[in-house]
Amino acid sequence: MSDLLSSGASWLASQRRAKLAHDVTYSRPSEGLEAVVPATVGRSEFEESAGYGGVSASFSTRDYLLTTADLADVFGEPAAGDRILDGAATWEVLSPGGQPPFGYSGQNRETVRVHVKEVAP
Amino acid sequence: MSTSRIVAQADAVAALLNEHDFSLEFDASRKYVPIVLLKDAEKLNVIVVPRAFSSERLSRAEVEDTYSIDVGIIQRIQVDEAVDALMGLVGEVNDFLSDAEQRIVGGATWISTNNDPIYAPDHMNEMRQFTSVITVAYLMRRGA
Repeated sequence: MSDLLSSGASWLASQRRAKLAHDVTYSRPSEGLEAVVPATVGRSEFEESAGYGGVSASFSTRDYLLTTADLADVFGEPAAGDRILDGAATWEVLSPGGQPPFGYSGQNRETVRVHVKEVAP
Repeated sequence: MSTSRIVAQADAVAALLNEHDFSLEFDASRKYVPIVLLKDAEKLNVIVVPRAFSSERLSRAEVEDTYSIDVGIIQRIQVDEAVDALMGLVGEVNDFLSDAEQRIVGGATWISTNNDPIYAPDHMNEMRQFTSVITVAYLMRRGA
């Protein structure tokens, strides 16, 4: 018997890529790698870091949902320091609060969620 | 309009830092809200912030004021070598502000320097940002 939920999740992932995504430029500057891939913006917030003596940092943060296979051939898995150019904004893959900088979504790992912060171009 | 004494002291510290040649170039500025946007932290930010003030009567005629001033050193880093250079700068600023020739600033006398954090590991891990805060305390006596 086919796994209905698993095949449904795969279908939803393909629909996200086809209908809910726009092209961004994903790059790994340390290795000179770059590729244009479809991405969907997930959670998006503005945060402030822990302060030291009142000195703190603030930043825009968001998650991007990417198709695992789109990254795999060029980059393998996402890594801290990777960059996403989306329109005029540059985002860097960075760990939020001691967590890994990315995680897979769905039982088939078809989608990868990367955590990014806005940085200077 | 009167000028706050601790703000004047912070301005004097910022001016003192800007007059000196350190191993890394920066333009120190005094701020009320010491928050740096991550996307503005590619360049070296040195911010001077009034932190605390206390006053104690010494006699009928004399009061002793203590001013604490924070100096924040902040920059995004991509490689460990950049951290080495910034740690060197923190040491230079620590030494400079504690140096005998710099102990009178804005009419107040240096009494202590505290560097905490020397660097913030969580900022480095989560933002690739070097953050160090030096707190300098000055004493000034004045008429009551």
